[in-house]
Amino acid sequence: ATRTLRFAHAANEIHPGHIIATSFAESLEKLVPGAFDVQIFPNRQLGDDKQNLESVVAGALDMCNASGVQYPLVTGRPALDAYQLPFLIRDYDHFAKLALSDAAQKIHDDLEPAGLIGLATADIGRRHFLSVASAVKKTDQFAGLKTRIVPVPLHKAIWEAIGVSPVGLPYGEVYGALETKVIDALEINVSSMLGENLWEVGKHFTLTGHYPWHATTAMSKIVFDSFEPDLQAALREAGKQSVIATLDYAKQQDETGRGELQEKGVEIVELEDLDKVKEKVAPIVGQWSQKSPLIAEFVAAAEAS
Amino acid sequence: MDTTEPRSGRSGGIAGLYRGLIRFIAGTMMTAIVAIMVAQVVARYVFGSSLIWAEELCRYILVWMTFLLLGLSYQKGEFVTLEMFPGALPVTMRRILRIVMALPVLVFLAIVIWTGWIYASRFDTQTTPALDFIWGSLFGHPLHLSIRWIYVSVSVGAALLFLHILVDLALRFRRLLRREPDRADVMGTSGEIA
Amino acid sequence: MGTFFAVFALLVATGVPIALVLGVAGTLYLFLSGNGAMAIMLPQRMMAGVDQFVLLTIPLFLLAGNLMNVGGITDRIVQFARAMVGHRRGGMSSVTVLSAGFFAGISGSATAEASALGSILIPAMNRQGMPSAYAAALVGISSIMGPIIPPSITMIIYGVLAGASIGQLFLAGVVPGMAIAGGLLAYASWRAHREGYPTTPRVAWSECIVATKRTLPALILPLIILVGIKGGIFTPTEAAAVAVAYALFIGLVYRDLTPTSIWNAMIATALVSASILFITSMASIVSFVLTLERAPQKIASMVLALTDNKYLILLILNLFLLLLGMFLEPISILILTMPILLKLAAIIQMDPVQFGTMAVLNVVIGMATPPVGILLFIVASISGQPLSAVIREAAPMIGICIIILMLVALVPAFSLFLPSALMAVN
Ligand code: NA
Ligand code: NA
Repeated sequence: ATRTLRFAHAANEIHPGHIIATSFAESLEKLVPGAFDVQIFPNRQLGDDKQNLESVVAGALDMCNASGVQYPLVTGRPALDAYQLPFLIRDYDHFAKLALSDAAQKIHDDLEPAGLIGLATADIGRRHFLSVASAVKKTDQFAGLKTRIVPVPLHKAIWEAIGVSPVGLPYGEVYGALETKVIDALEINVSSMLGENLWEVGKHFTLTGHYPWHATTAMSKIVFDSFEPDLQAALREAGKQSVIATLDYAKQQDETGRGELQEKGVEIVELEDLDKVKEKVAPIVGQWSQKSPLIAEFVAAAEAS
Repeated sequence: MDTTEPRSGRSGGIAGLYRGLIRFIAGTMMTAIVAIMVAQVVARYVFGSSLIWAEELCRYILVWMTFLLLGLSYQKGEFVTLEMFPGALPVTMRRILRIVMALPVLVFLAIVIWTGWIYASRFDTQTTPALDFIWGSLFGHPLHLSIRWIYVSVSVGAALLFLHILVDLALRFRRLLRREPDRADVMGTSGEIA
Repeated sequence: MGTFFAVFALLVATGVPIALVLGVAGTLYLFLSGNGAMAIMLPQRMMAGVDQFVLLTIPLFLLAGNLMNVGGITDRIVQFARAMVGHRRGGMSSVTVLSAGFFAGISGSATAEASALGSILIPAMNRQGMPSAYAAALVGISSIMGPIIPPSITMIIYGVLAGASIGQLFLAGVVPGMAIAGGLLAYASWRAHREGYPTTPRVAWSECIVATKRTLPALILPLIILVGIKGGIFTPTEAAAVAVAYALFIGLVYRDLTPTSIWNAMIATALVSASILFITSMASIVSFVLTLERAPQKIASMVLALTDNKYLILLILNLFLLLLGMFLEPISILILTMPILLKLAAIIQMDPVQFGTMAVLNVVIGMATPPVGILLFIVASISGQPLSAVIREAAPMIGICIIILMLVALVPAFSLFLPSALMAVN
């Protein structure tokens, strides 16, 4: 019999966060035809990232894809922070290598005590820096910029080290806040620049590439355990295939998206002294490695590849 | 909306203490929301630095304030109700209808109290970043207060509402048996929307 | 879905509070649709319906209006309006409409407006020889301006649901709000001439100036809000807290507020907002179950199967909202229907700000339509008139509001001119 899997996420349909769900469903259908009917609920239909993740932990929803940054918060298990240690992962290809490594698998396995089976972690858009008033070309220019960040410990540590003045603001109010200059800047990826029309209100895009925006697909452990071993294997394999598909999509969207942004009048610049920023945030990698041996192992794997 | 609340019902004893306490918490929470949000605007616009915990903390206060006040708000007749049809019925019928229709409501609230407690318990390991940030800057270490203490507000609020409805029902039942006239103040059609 | 609506109607009719109706019917629907195992989600959805930064605007804008009211601002606004239009035939009816327009600029809610103005203006019109039912209806319908002229709680809720700019929505409401005032003023004059209501002498200039001075602080609040948002000093959500701070400030300067009256206003506001937020909390259960059952997709394709004509879809949208408005209150209608209606709005390529203005005006008109019309309840109870008499008097005025609704729906510039002129990108 066909098993229905309800899969919720918060991204819109052109965002890589949606591709990770659709490619998962497609791979699964190829691997075990007719075994599952994956019902995708995109666009925060069933809740935001945190709520969707909680629903899966509570066993009410079968699976979700949520920002990796939410997992340590909701489960109390810090290891997924490893992906966003500043400048640790260099690019999409490097991400692909790491996301399918043993160190990454251990981080997924670490979610099991929280009632989750980690199936896939992909980069849904490398983060850069958007500013309203003028382009940030030098590290000093970050100083004091009112910058919207996600108010979580890792991001707070990174952005305070860089020297901006971090602002907590609901994501839904970001567009308006940039438009009226309540905030000066935002750390963001190309797909969201396009998807949320942020290019209309911010015209200076600095390619910092400080960390990937990792999103993790997880399934409720209770649901996963109810399947036969061959179906479980198929679910894991579909997860891996969705990582590759999503990274391909995100990488391509990132490249073509930059051209689109330029056509829309966005100035895209490099940071002249990127090394200076890297220097400022370097200690954070060590600090976070001490929080979990899994993070330390992931860091070692990243630095070795 | 009246701002001078008429004192209705008994004001002494445990009920009076409860009302006084809830009213005090309500006033304090409302004041805190105003103070935090104004402080946030001043900090960001005047001093260029932001209270990174402000948004989250205000949400928690709003959640607790809402659920904690449900019972009292119900008793004050703030819940919008369509009284047209019951109002046209004879008194005894109306009272019986009120009592019968309270049953599905009580069942619903019981489900919420129960599931709310389970839900809150599931997230014992989830902490509250806002309070951690505040604690961290005050005492150098995070508070590690579980989000459970925010989530449990749903159960607490539903339980208080449950009790209020139950007491209301008991009083109505007594009036029904003694054939006393209705008090006019319960479940009115006031309430402030949009 | 049929059972859901039947249970819903039964519970509403038998006098169960609307918030609890949403909760009970939504939960029953959850079990009936075979999703009973998801009952564990009920508390999460109830939280999600409250745990939103933007919803802080509900207690805050109510508190600001409340503080101004305690501080005697309502009286001053009425004085000011009387100085301006009180000399016209049936002057108090014109004063009512104008006062409602000004009051809308400090209040985010229609019910606050109806209760504050009703207690002063219904007796005043009555003394000038106008029937109480007419006076009550005029106050009730004028209160519709409350959530149309900025600030507006309802607009903010829509903005968040639709991801639309709240600053632009506020500006979009200005012209339609003024058009309602114009329409009602014209109707009031026509009535006054037809019925031969008396005139009163024009107020002396010196008195006009005094009244203006006394009212000015309240009248500039909407300006402060719009300038503050546009100037990047605060976000639309924070504007609500700024409005409270401002109300406290002028209340203390004019010595109209005391610590006790402030404290009491805080408590009273908290109690009222709890009852409103309980509705949003319960509505979020229903909208969750409807989403699980893919109702938005089903209804959208049902409509599209009927027609793909833009104007017919627009008509269906409005009739649908007006129908819901007869029974439900604005915020829960928006929470319940926006997932569905925004899909249709996108299909007919309607601007989200124009669509929002239309939807908000539509659901606010619903507050004044029978059988469940909170504005009618309020003014009927203040005036002591039977609901049926008030409804009869209100009918032509609702007609005026519906004409303006049609203008908003059919003429984009009617709502969009101001926001695009003042908040244009680049
Ligand atoms: Na208003
Ligand atoms: Na109505």
